[in-house]
Formats: sequence, C-alpha cells, structure tokens
Amino acid sequence: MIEIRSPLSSSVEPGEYGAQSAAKAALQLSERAPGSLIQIAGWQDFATVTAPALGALGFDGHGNFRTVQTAGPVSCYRIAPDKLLLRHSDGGSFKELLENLNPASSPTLDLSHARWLIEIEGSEVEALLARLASLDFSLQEFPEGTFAQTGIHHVGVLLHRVSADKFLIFVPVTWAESIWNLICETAAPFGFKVIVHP
Amino acid sequence: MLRIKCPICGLRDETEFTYGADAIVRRPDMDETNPQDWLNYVFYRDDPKGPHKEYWHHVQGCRQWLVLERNTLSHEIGACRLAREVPK
Repeated sequence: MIEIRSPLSSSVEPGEYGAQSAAKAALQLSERAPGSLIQIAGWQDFATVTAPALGALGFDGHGNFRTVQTAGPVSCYRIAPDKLLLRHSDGGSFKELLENLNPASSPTLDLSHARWLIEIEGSEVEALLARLASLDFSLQEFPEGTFAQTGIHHVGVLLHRVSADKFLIFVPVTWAESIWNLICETAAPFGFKVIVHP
Repeated sequence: MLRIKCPICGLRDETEFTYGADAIVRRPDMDETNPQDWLNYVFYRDDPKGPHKEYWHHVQGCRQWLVLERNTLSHEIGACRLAREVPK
C-alpha cells in the first residue's frame, strides 16, 4: 500500500501565533490523515442496493444530508442523493463493506489519499469559520454531529462539527496547503496554537 | 448576492454554484430531419425578460444539477429542484 504522507508536512510548525491573550490562544489548529475514506455512488436504486452493506457496518439507513451517522469508528456522510462518504477514523479496512456491494451497481472510490483533515478547536471557532465560508456556524444552525459541504477560497470542502467548539475540515490534498495557510492567516487576529498529533 | 436554496444543502450563496444552461430548451426528436429545428436547438437561445428556468450546478456543495427559477429582470429566485426530478 502506498504510504500516506501529509501534504502539510512543510507548513505545520507547532507553536503559538498571532494575537495572544494572557490566558491562552483562542484557537487550536492541527492536521491529521483521514484514516480510511471511501465514497460509494450509485443510481436510482442506490438506497436499496447499498442498504445491506450499510447494515453490516451498523448503520440504519442512509440518514439525511446534514447529520453525520456514526457506528463505532465509522462515520457516514450522505453527501448527495446517490452518494455516501464513509470514514474509518482509525484507518481500518472497508473489506466487509466491499464484500456486500456489487461494483456494477454501487461503484466505490478510495479517497484515503485524496483528502486531508484540518481540525479547528476553540472558543472562536465559529467566528473564524464565518470569515472563511458563507454559512451560519452558530450552534443552533450548525449543531454538533452535523456537516455541510461548501467552498473555502473556491475549494470544495466538507465541514463536520464534532463538538460545540471543534470542527473537522475535509480538504482535497492538492489544496490542503493553500487552505491551511488561509486558515492560519485568518486565525491570526484571534491568536492560535498549532498542535502536532503524535 | 443571489442566494439559492439547494434542495440538498439548503440556502447557499450563488458563489457555490455554476450556471449551466437554459432549462427551457428541448432537443428535437432524434429522427427530426428539419435542419432549422436542429439549428435552433444547437445555436439559438431566447433572451427572456422575466421568469425563466435555468440549469445550475452546485459545484461546491452536493454537486447536483438543479433547475432554478430565476427572474432575469429582478433577479428574484424562485423554486429550485433537482434536475433529475423535473419532468422533461
């Protein structure tokens, strides 16, 4: 298997940047590999033909276009009527899923090498994201466990709110550095800390 | 700023979308032999003033093709539906 390497390896330097309060940085930025990421697509009978495979993973149906379904380490994003994005956060295999899918009716695409995760956490996360994308990031309109696909700097991204003050951003690997730099620049007035995961 | 209510993603700024084509145009039957009908289909478009239907692509969202009702005079945005669900 091809080794997955961070597209941000030359950009991420741990430390504190921008405006700093006496207490602590208002934001924490970090990056990580998405784990295993697979996209399932289909046609009009998509729900029917993929239901057994999703059931085997522990999902009850396809969910809706806003809510992230989770079953253990696997998250399911319904990104279009006939398209799902599945993430195995610890990099586990989707072998069982693939065994339950007919590639002639439900083609899959491994995106593990094609996306990268940028994590933003902190008290000013809503204010920061509001400067990056034209969505309402208030907890009321964008609650925990929901996601949205939008554009940052004209690059298509997927935003997942995992808690009140933390978002995951799925970015295309080829644009990860540009998006990272833009986020850092935008976060500077708030003050931010870059963390490197072990 | 135009705001379009995508049936999948909800209300979004126009910058997430790309205009596709006139959604009123209908292709002639494949056995149509009148060249004028094909000429009209391939090259000629009306420039309507007022309510109109257009194809838009939600390129930075769900990537679905949509049929959007837009008033070309006032820019008022009307109904927006998945193109696959609009009868041809």
